[in-house]
Amino acid sequence: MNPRGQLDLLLLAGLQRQQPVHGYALIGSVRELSADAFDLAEGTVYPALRRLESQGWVDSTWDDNSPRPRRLYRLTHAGRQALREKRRDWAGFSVAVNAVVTAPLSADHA
Amino acid sequence: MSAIDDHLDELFDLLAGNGAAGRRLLAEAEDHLYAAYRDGVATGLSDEDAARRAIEHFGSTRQIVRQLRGTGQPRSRKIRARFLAALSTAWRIAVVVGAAAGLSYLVYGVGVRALLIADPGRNTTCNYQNRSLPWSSSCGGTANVSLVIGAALLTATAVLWLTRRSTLHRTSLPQTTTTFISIVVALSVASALVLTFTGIGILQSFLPSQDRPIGNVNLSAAGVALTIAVVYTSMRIKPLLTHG
Repeated sequence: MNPRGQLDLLLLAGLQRQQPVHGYALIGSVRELSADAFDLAEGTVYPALRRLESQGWVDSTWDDNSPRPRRLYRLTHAGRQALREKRRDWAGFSVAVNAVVTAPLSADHA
Repeated sequence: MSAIDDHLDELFDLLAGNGAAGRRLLAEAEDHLYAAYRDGVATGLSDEDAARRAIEHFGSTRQIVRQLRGTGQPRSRKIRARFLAALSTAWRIAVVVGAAAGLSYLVYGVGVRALLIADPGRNTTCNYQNRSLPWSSSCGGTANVSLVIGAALLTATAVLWLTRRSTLHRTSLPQTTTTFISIVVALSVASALVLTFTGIGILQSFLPSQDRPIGNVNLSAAGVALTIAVVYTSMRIKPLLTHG
């Protein structure tokens, strides 16, 4: 399953659960919560995080305690608002999709 | 872990020209890949399998770089990146051609010198039809000039290569956006060198027996240029074939 269309939502939701967090741990958390359901190219998460940062939804700093350079990410206030909106959109979207794919077939098409 | 280092090198090539964003992504990729590798080894995978899995999960370098570029760059930055890519390509071509030509001349000069040392009284031609190179009337002089040219070219090539590496680190000069062009141009020039040395070598092979060793020296010099061209192409063409 490719989560590309909902990657922003997944990352924002992941950040809300655990922050500050570095990219590898964030990806691991999403992978674990989804029971490894997503076919996610992990490297693409970093450009996505940068994009979220340029939108003002995520903030990041270098982790001084790490032996290798790594960024620590956290949600901003705007990011929390964006997450609320995206959750609402997703809820509406999933209800609508569900309604279509689980609608009972009429007798003619059964 | 060499597979991870290779992957990072490839990413480094592709990310150059993206400034701070590229440097940051490279640092994060390095941390990510080594963390994934360590986790893989901790779960019982062999070194190779852990590295392979880390790279597979990380995804194609080109896809990642496309995404990074898609995060929005101002037009002026894109133009600058293209200019730097062209500069970088010219620089790379100069290094490959310089290395091929320098080593060829060096092999030729050393070969002729060795023949003359083995037989100081040798009365032979260093060029086809008894014509000496314009800068020298003797075979020994031709060998000396070839040695000087070879050494000068190799020194210049080494300087170019080192300055290119340091400039890449300092300014994020892009490397691979024009890989295909650099392969074509470098191959063309190397082919010209090969044909020249091979042509003279084959012609000399038909001369009287005392001139044949010189023909072989020419062929060896051609072989050096050909080897460099083949090695360079195989190194650069692999990422193109792997990632389109």
